[in-house]
Amino acid sequence: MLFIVQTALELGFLYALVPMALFLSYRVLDIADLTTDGCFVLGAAVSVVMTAAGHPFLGIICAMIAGALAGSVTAFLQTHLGVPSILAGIITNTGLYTINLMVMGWSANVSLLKTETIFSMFKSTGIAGSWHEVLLAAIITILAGILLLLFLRTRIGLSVRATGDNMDMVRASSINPAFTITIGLMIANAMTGLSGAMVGQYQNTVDINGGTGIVVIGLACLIIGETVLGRRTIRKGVVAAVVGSIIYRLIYAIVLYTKVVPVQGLKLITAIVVALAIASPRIKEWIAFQKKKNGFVKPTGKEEV
Amino acid sequence: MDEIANAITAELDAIAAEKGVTIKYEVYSGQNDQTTIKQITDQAVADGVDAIVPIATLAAQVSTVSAEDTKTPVVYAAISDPEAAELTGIDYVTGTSDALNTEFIMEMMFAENPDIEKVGLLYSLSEKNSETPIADAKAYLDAKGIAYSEQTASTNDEVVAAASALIAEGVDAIFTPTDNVIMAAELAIYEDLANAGIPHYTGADSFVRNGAFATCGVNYTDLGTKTADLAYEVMTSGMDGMEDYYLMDGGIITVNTETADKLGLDYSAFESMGELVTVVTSEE
Repeated sequence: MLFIVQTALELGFLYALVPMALFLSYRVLDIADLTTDGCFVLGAAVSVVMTAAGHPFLGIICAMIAGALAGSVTAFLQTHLGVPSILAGIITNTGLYTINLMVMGWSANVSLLKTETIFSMFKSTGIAGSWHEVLLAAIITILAGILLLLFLRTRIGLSVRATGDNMDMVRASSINPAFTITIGLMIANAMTGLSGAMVGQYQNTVDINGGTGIVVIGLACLIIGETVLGRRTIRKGVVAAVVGSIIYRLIYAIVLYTKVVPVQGLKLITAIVVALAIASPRIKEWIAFQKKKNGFVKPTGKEEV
Repeated sequence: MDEIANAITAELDAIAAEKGVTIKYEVYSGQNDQTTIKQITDQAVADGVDAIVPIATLAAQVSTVSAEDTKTPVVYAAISDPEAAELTGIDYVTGTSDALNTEFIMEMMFAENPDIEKVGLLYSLSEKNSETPIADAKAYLDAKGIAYSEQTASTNDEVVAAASALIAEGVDAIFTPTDNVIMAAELAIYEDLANAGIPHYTGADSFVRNGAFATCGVNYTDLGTKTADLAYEVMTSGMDGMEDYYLMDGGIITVNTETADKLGLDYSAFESMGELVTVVTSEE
């Protein structure tokens, strides 16, 4: 049982930067950025190919740069060429398929064998024993989260946040929204690329279809986290991404382990759990409303429905 | 799949050199994408090729459809279950099958450890190749009265989660058929399985090179060679007299010695069961 918790924590931290990236693009910037799937594989591909060449650290950094560039393409399409934001992401995502194959040397998957990865290097330090993968993924993810929070407090960071809140006001304050959107999407996709880069080195392999559906899972994680923690502040949002990602992987592992449903029913259970998590604020509201309706005894005057 | 393609082209070159003829061929990768494969095969048929050699089920099915009007010979490679893939009884289609000898692998499992109480079955639902061997494995284990636990996965991260669920359940051994989805993630799970003392029996030696414990089966280079021979035969003598499909004479047992050491397992029991090949975790 402890082992599946460990695996869930590993996967939870490794993939947590995807919901964090979506927090920045979807919640802060209010843009549905569908670059994610392809960008994730791009990060993994760059990282694995660089690691195979003997540069695991450089691989992580290059993966982030590659992710940021992918984000800038999506941003350019929507800010300068007038492509609707959802389409811009899909277009970049489609194009990335070829780019990813190119990075992987026109092969559908690349493996790492007996190659030093950031995980094997960290393992050889002996810190945390068999939990070294959890610890390293947690360190990188939390560090990225802290940097994101620090960035969002800077002048540019505040402009990015303002762009998502009220574009007209941003324009009126003579900030160029095209610039803030580009910065925001570049950072978001750098984080997605970083997540892919870690996953690639963790799994010792990258597969061209490895990112399929990641955007949906990432969104589900974010919403699960927000349901648990609430979504008032920026800090809560960032923490929610990590917590949500871990909860999602735990739910998945428990369903696998307990087999409360046949294995073939797993996707449906995942969908139901996610749907319930997303719907819970509305359900809570409804229950509160019913309670009030039925037990209307002493109105406080302050409550509104 | 690359292994098969390389073997096919190598054998075609060899035949050409031996017979003093020129064999022109081009290799395309469809990336397991139906639309891409259809485009490639339609183009090949339009170009008037003498034969199409698709590798794996989807490519073979699409090629068969593309070649329907022209009756261009289709000589597929590595279809585990040509009947389930509906590739039998078509007069312009033949090929090689890498049908897995599931029963034999199960026997290896019990030869190695007669006290197995629970077997894990790890595979993906999207691989048609896995259907028959998994059904065979269940039938075998049911007949023997051994418990089993199934886990399926369709992406790398799901394979990691599924493997860890099997470890947590305490299975004594894990079986995976010739399943490309699990194969893609073998490098991500083999260390955990070895640390947990669970031998992973698989459907292909490529798994074993990536850290799985043992397999018995088809050598894909041999299979590619045989497919190329068949293709040459079809191009020179036509489709008459060809069987629906050809099975490989298997019987090569491959063991990963590094994994065996880590598991502390003695694989000498396999020696009497077939040709034993030992490998270490390596690229290839």
